Amino acid sequence: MDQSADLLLKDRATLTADRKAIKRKQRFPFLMMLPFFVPVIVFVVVPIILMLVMSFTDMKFTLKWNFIGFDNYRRIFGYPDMSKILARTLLLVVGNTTLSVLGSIFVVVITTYYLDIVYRRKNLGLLFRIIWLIPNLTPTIVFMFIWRFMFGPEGYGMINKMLAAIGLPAMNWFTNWSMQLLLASMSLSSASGSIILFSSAIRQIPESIVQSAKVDGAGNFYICRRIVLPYLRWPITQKTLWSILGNFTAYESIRLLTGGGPMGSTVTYAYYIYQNAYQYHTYGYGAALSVFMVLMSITMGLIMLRVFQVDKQLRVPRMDI
Amino acid sequence: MSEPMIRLENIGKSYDGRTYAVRGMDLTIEKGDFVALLGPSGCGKSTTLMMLCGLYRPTEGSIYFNGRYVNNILPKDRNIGMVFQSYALYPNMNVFENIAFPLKQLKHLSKREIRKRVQEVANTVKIPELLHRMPSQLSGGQQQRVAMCRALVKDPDILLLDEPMSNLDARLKLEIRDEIKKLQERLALTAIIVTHDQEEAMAISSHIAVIDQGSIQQYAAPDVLYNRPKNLFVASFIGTPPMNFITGTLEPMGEDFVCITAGGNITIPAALIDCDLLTSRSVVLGIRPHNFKVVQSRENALTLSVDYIEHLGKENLYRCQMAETSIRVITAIDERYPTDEPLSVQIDLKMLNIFDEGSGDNITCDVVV
Repeated sequence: MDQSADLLLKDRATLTADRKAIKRKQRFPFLMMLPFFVPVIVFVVVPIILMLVMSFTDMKFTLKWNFIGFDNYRRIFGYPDMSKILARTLLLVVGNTTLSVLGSIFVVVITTYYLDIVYRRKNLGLLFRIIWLIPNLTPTIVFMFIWRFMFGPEGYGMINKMLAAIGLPAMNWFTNWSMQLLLASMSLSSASGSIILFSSAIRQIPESIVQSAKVDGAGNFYICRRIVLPYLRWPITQKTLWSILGNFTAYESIRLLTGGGPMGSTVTYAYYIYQNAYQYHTYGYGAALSVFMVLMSITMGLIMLRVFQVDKQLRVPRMDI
Repeated sequence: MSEPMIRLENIGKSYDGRTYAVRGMDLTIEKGDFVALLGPSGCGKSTTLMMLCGLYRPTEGSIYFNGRYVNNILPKDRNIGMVFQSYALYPNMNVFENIAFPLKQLKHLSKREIRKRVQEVANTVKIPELLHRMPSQLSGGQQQRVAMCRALVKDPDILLLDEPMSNLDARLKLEIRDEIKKLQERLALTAIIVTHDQEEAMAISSHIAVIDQGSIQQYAAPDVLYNRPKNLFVASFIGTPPMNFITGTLEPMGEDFVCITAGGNITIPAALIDCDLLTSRSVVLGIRPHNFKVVQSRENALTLSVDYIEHLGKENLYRCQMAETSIRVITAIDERYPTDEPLSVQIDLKMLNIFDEGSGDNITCDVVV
């Protein structure tokens, strides 16, 4: 009896020792992951907390932490132009997303489906795809500079010079058409980015599926509608989600092309934040606006995940035979 | 004289304008025939099928369906049904929509008529319970059946099958093979199957076109192909275990001939050989493994040394050597011979094929060309 009790004790001792050793071992991987955790905490988590705290102060360029409670948030909802800014933001988000997604589907169907697959003019298709890629490859600042130059005032802008050449009167593009110009330039740039994604999705379609549809009697347009476009469902969903969130937070193109003008007619919510935080240096108010934007983004994101049934698309195996 | 169902005249196809995937191909297929295009990969059999269905246009030659020139006719107007190797089911449509797809292209059909015909063909192929599933929810064999339905629903004149069973496991292959054969006979279809599996081709088809390097080597019924291959390529391609080839010199001897080989001399009656033979010539004797008879005497027999024995269950296979040549001899299960003594075998002359070594052509007298 004594002996067995002794053995048990001994076992317990070795067991605790083992457990300690295991714990020590488990600590090691986390040590190795420090280079990941440290930057995330320093550059992501801490700024988020700082911004939250800052949104309850009236911090200006003096950087004083003077707490004023919910005043900043009251100011957001009390701002008379806020409804106009939000409506404008909605217009930009919906307009850009629709134009860029539909535009890139159109370009890809022409270049990849019709030129590459139907008419077997692969080089021509490639050429057009490369041309279409240029807006996305150009840095935003260069791209927007080119637009400023093209639509510049009488005597400077290229378009106005061309109008003059054919005897038409010059137009004040940035006075009367600033929102339209923003929509056109931004959606062109983002349509250009979708082309690679959509084009590679079309190329993944097995050749035999298109051949089979031809033998079954389907015409080129019917094949495009019933076979090719369904293959684009997932990339289109992805691009739409991306474009909605991206356009909601976009301000650099506005800064570069119109600067919010004329008379604040192209100020969107994100640009309004930029103005308050970096032009008027009202950091506290800017932080509150940003917190509100993050909340809106999260809400929109959750709604869209539901609407597009992203979880379903991810789970159901997309058959490739 | 009625026109054959399909007639290919001197068909050629080149993808790059220099090399030909198919060249100088002539083929006549009667109504109700089940023809297999058989050959190693890259021989041009799939290219031929693609030209038949109209997805590829022949570079030269003409194709006639029922006497009608169809080179310029689009696939959809040829009234063909096709089953692809990968089945090519439309992944975004369920089984019903997949099968109904060809019917929807015919503008005059009502929805009720379409539903009725899909239902009918699904019953024929025995998949009525699958109509609401998506292709991704089907097994390989079920996908194959759906592809068959889609090919048959239009009531085609010609059924084209592009390696339809190569993605199935061995047992399912046998099952589907039987069903395709039964369906073809019941519906009196003209069918063409592309395959590299000779067993499949022998089992399913009424005629086989053996293709190599873009042209037909022999076009005949399976038994003819097996017993009287037209040339060395066909002889070596058809049959498992393969035919034995023994090189020798054929020389006139009195009324008959004698073939001198490394394993012994064999007398060959003159009636067996199709051409006039005045001087000796190099030939290849082709004998199937089960056409040997083990004998005691060495008279008119080949002497082989036995390497080892494979017991195949219903028979024994002796792996033998004759000089540098490896020879397979199949004997009945109750015949046992020692491995350490030389084996004397006689050739069943009725089943012997003699090929000219230079041209590779069969010079046995009753070769069907």
